[in-house]
Amino acid sequence: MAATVADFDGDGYTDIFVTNDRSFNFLFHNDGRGHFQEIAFEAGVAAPANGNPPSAMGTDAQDFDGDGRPDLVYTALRDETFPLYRNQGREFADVGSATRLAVLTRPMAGWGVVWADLDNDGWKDLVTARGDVLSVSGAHGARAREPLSWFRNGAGTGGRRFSAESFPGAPMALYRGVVAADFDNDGCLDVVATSLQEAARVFRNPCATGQHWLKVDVRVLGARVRVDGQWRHVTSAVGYAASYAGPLHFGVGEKKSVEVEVFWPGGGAKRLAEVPVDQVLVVRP
Amino acid sequence: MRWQLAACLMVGVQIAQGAQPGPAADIAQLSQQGAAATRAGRFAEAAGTYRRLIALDPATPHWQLNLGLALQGLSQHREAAAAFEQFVKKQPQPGPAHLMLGLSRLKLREFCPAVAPLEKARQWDAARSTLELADAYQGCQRWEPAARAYVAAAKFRPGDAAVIRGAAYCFWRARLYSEARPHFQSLLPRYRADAEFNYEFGDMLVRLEGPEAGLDLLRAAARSAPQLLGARAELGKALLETGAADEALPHLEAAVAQDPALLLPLSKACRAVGRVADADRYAQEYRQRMKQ
Repeated sequence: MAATVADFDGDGYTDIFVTNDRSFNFLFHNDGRGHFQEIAFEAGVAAPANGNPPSAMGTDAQDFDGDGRPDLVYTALRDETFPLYRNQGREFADVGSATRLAVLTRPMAGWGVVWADLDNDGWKDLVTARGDVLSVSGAHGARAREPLSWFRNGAGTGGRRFSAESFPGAPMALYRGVVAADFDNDGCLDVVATSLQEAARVFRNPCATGQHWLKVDVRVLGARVRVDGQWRHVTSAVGYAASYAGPLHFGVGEKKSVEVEVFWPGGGAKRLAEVPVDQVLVVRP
Repeated sequence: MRWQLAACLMVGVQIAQGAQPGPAADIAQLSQQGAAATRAGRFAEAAGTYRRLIALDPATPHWQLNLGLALQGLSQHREAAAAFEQFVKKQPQPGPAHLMLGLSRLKLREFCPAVAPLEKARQWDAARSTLELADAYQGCQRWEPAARAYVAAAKFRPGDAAVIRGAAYCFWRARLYSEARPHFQSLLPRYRADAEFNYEFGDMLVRLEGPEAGLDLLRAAARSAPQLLGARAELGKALLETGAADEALPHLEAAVAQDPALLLPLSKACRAVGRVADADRYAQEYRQRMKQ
């Protein structure tokens, strides 16, 4: 259904995760010699912890808990939850229950999904494009339309915890693709979403927190960027039926300056200290 | 069995008394005989009488209705349903024949074909037909309409916990957990010792609030009914998610025979308690069986 790319095992080579609808997902490990090996079972991402492969839809990989490793999330249909896997290095742990994402997403059907720090607090939130597969003209058609969901990434006992709300101003629809980007250059990520039977819509982030941010323009696929304790990697694959090629967005809370480090996919790195926030920082190899 | 055959609903065609000799007089006499036989519970005689009436007077649909009632009295539900079908083809407006047809279908355990006549019967008389319609929806595995029909039926049967139990069960099966919850909650005092109730309510709480929330009910279900493998499967998974792999293991091992998907959590539980060889074996078996 969808694919996301990241160097999941930190060996310097980009791997590929593929979601499959009601079948085992794939994780193709890049051995750096031009070959991929499918290791989803060994890595623990072929199916959720309950053993039932869900209707896996869109997927995105970024580090959501600040340990430097890209984690995995994917959407699914109602009563399947949106599985979230914490990258532990060699394998992944299903943390849907621990982070509350499983309970929050139980009644939802999702497609597009993107990690995006919408409130600039320094922790990546999740935005999901939702919409059930029910026929809109059928008996339960009214339930087919769902909102865009914003899952805030907050602190909890022993780890991260998510809370859910609808994205402000977004009506119920048959959403499919979603991407976050700062369309009005106010320093907050806005959202563009596609939906069935309707034109794509842009939803402006009210940007009410007053928190600071930094955009890092790297333009090298596979590059990894650290901004203080946060990580992102450059990829064009986002969620489901969507892509993104803009600068990497980091919310930095109340910080006025940060340390930036860029790791190039072929090796080598560039480190920049005392970088002022609220700017687009261009870094080239 | 809740589906009572409502012979009291028999609708006889009123024939004028004192008719002249000839076919009309025969029809009037047979009609009276049929009604009397039905009232007296002599259903075989009534059925024979109404069959003669149908032969004599095929244009009058009520003989089919009364034949159906007599056949219901004989527990010949397939033949009764055929007679009611004949009647409602000629008299399609919602009425008691739709209820009778639906009841015959329910008796035959033909739940899906029972739905349409009972939906019509509900238009005619909701108080008499809604519970039967709910049963038909449930048997047809149309869980959400069944749940809503049970909720509606409860208004006609205040205090009938079995009807609320039907609503709770069907909302749970429809995966409408938020709507199921208040019904389960209201039934808890009465059904506290019921293993299936504890399983369903516990499973619902796990899905709605997380694994810890349903543990007590699932433990109660597994304790009182170890053969209830669905409860033990959900208990095992919930325990594993809360880190209690050792307690999860016997439940997962018991339930895995009915659901190969459990091989994966079983493998994880074994690994968590150091049974590495078992963990590898279960993981391998999971991959093989789930790929089939």
